[in-house]
Amino acid sequence: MTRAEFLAELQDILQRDEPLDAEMVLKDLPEWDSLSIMAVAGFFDKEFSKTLNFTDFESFITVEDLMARAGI
Amino acid sequence: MPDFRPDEFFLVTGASSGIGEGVALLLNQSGAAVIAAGRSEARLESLREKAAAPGHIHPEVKDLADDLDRLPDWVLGLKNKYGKLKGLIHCAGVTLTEPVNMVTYAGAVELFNLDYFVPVLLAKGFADRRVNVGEGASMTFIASLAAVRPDKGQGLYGGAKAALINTMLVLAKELAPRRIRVNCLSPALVMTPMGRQFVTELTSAEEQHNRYPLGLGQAADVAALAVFLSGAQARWITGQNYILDGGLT
Repeated sequence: MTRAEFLAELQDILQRDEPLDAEMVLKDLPEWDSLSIMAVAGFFDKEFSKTLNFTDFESFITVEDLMARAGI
Repeated sequence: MPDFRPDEFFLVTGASSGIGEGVALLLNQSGAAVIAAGRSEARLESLREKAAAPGHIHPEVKDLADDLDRLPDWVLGLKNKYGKLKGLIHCAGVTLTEPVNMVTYAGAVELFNLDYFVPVLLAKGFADRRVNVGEGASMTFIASLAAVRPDKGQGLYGGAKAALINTMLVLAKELAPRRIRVNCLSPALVMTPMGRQFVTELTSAEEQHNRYPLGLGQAADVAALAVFLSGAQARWITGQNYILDGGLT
């Protein structure tokens, strides 16, 4: 998965009209709530075979951090 | 009854007959715009002829079972066509009466597709932030008394409707932070074309009528509560399943 594809996928998971970029701070996004976090965890499991836990999500500040964890 | 504005769009499925038709007509009479989904263009046209404000009925010919995977996209497409949706009232469904010893896997899958997976995927489509109006939006699903008080022969039908109610309870919790409400109605036998078919196949109308302290229900009886649940006065009601059975249970 490319970075552009990741951003598009994340935008869809967050059900956002506006595109995302890597520098965006997750907690500033109105769509970033507990349900979105569950959806992102499911996405990481399915797409990257990575299990994310609560501490992981505590450590993610920006969209870039998510991409780094995904390894892209 | 709530008052709606003509820029408040409700998607009503199964709108070409029975409970769905009753819901579409009552919403329309209450001032809302209705996206009326049904399989038959001719019957949707006749719905429009019966409406108080025919200009605010928007027929959409659609077989919901057509391509389940793409149902959420279909709902998104309606938003692109009409604007953000205020409500979804899902009335489409099929009934099946057969004892469990007659069940086939293929038949069971077909029934669950229509009575469970279709509403769940419609709900997924509607719940998308890009599709609904946000605060004040609502979804109402027609389940069945068979979900909570199933009778002989309702193993699959009751099972699918019970599954539907369960998933809607979850959805009510998931969407509450966005102030989107989700409820179910569980009517007993209602005198719709589908209900009449049930009666004539298995029993007599008189026999059925005598079972209900308040007699058999009409589509309008169910529509009244569905429309109320879609309005602002129902703002504190979510995650509920209402039994409408004329005093039967």
